[in-house]
Amino acid sequence: MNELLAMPREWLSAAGEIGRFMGTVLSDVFGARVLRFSGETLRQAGILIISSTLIIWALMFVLGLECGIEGAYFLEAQGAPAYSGVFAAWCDLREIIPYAFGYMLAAKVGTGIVAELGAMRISDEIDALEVMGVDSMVFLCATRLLGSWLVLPFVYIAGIGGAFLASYIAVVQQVGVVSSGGFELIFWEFQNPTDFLFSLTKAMVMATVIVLVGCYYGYNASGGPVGVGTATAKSMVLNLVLVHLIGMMGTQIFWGQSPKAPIGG
Amino acid sequence: MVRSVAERAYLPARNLLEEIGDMMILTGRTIVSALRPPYPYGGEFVSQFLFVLKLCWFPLLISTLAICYAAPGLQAANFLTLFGALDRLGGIFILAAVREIGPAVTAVVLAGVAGTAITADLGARKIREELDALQVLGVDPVKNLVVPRFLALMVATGLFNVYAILFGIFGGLAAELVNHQPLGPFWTTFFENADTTDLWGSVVKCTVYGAIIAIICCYKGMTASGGAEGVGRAVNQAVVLAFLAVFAFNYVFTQMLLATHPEILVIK
Amino acid sequence: MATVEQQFEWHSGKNRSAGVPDAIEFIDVYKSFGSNKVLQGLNMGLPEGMISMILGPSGTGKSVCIKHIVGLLYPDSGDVVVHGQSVPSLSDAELFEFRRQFGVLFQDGALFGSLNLYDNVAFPLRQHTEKGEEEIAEIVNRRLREVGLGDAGQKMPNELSGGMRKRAGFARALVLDPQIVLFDEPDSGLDPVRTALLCELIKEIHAENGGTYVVITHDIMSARRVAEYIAVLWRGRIVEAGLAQDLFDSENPFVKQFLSGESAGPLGME
Repeated sequence: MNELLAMPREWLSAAGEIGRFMGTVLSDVFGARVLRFSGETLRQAGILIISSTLIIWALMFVLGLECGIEGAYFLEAQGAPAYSGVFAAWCDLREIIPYAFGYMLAAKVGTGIVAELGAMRISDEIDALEVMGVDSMVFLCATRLLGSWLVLPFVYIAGIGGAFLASYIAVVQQVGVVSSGGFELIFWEFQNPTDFLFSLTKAMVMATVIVLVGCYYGYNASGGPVGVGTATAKSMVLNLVLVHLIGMMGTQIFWGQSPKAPIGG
Repeated sequence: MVRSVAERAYLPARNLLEEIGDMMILTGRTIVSALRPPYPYGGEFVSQFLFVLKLCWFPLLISTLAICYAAPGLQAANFLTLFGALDRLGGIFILAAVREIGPAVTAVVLAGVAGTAITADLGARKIREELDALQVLGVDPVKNLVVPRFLALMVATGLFNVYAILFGIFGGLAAELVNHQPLGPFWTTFFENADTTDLWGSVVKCTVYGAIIAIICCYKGMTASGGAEGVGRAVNQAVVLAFLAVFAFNYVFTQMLLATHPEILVIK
Repeated sequence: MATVEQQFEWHSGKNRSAGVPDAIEFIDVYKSFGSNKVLQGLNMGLPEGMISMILGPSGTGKSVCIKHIVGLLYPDSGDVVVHGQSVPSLSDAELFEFRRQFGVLFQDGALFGSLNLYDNVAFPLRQHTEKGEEEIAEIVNRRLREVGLGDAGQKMPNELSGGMRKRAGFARALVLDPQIVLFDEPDSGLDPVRTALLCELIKEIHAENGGTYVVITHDIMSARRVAEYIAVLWRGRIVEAGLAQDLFDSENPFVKQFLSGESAGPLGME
């Protein structure tokens, strides 16, 4: 029993430390200390664009397809195939796309940060920064956070576009239960800018947490290359749980039990 | 200029193809050495299985509860309220929790938790030259390390799927309750729609997920390179690749299942 | 478990003064990580303007000393004083200012993997000075030439051998003209010839620039080559310290065993 509870206990005992770490990085960003390293921030943003964007979009696209297929079949069975647009709109925008984004971000960017910072930690590069009089938290963590804030909203918005397209392809072209125009009418009817904003908020909260968790595990790695590997694996576990919790809380807060739809029930 | 661009696109693509080929070979070798006697991997299989169980039960519990409460729970309830058909939520749960979300979340958590741990573990052994030492001692690393992990992850993913569906349904019940609905109609529509095809489809799907995750994660761990970043980078690549492979496979499998068993499409 | 007296039987703590004031002083420093007591009442002074060497068997807290000097670690009790300033009492802002008088060469150079050699060496200049790119280029190229890497500026750290990485790290440590340069095991992972060459380089550059150099090592050969002052550290305390020649003539059984590399003596496998 003790062994089974090892992980939750570890999280609880580390929660204070992780919280403090996140607080420091956030205050570095909001306190504008990060602006001293604007060059590094832009470089991190650039790396993010080149190395991670395509793969994040790929997962968002595939999940968009799946949403479309399931939605089309389900509504056909409900006897309201014309409404598959609703399913696609809600499933994509409100739920699945933020999750897809969170999953891939945690996998690609989160663990990538752990591997990179962990390697810097064990080869003394972080100590070297400190010794050269550079605040390593600002230089390494705050720049990454700000860099991701600069880039990820646009990545996410473009990804939503991709997922919509995927759902459209699945519903209209592949399953073919509704006409293109019919799909679009319902699809756009059932979402509004607020939904879009909520979805974006959800995704950005996820992104912030993922980057910070990655920084925490990487910055505090120890024990050689093996230790970096373990830290990378651990960060993924925590990130997955947090992504799901943020997704749930976002839905509860933003949509709760009010459908925000143009037809009454 | 043109040439350098071409090379930039060509090299990673070729590396990826080579890796996929290597993984296919590893899959073949794993299956062959799993079947061919002797069978020395029993103990390791049990310990790996318990290891996966120990690591995954808690993240998976939270993840399925959260996602099923929110996505097919609250959102679908909102949606069904529009039609005045909130009693159909049970039906949606068959579709969502059993067919899609259960297996998907199981795969994501297993890849993210157990898969990464396996890569980190094998990567560590590779870096410490334990794998070379094994081979020098005449022990086949595929048979003694990959096969037990492959089997353990397959079985664990299949079983965890049922566990995830169970807790997913609890999430759905919670959503019913916050909408002040009686639970009777939920169960009625749920069992009306429950179909063995759905369940076995879901379990088979997850077992294959487990195999995919195991192969990718073992491969990445065993080919981890030296250097400070080696193992961390291996874990990073393993989990990205596992996610992509799982969801690509899911798309194909859902299509196939829906096409070959059209009767499950009908929600009564 | 040996008693305290047995553990420190050979620690005479004898300090033959080098005749110059100390640049760095450890005053009764205790430091432990969990149950692992690394420094146990360390009293040590490293003289100004000399190449000092902290010698000791592996795992006796030599690297921990360096981290205390630059304020990356704080002592559990006791004090570390550098040029009359108490390091543990500095605030964060003061600490960053304070660290500019140091250059540190880490074990594997600790070059930034994302930057090429030139940018690595230029990094401290760009962060801390208002110098223009031309002036920076002049300084960086001079430093790179000094360590024998004049034409390798465009290479990335992972394209270099271990020895080259160390020399590049040395160039980076020197670039702000530090008053104190710290070396963390400069000889680890190098073959004897490369180690000898690196030692020569350290001596040359010290002769040219002056300043206080502190080298951490367990390699007696390098100690014989470069050390002017030696402190022998074991079990978190100084066994003996003094001018190099005095120590090589020491009658202390532990110092004798360690400096001649014999298997018989107080130091065992543990």
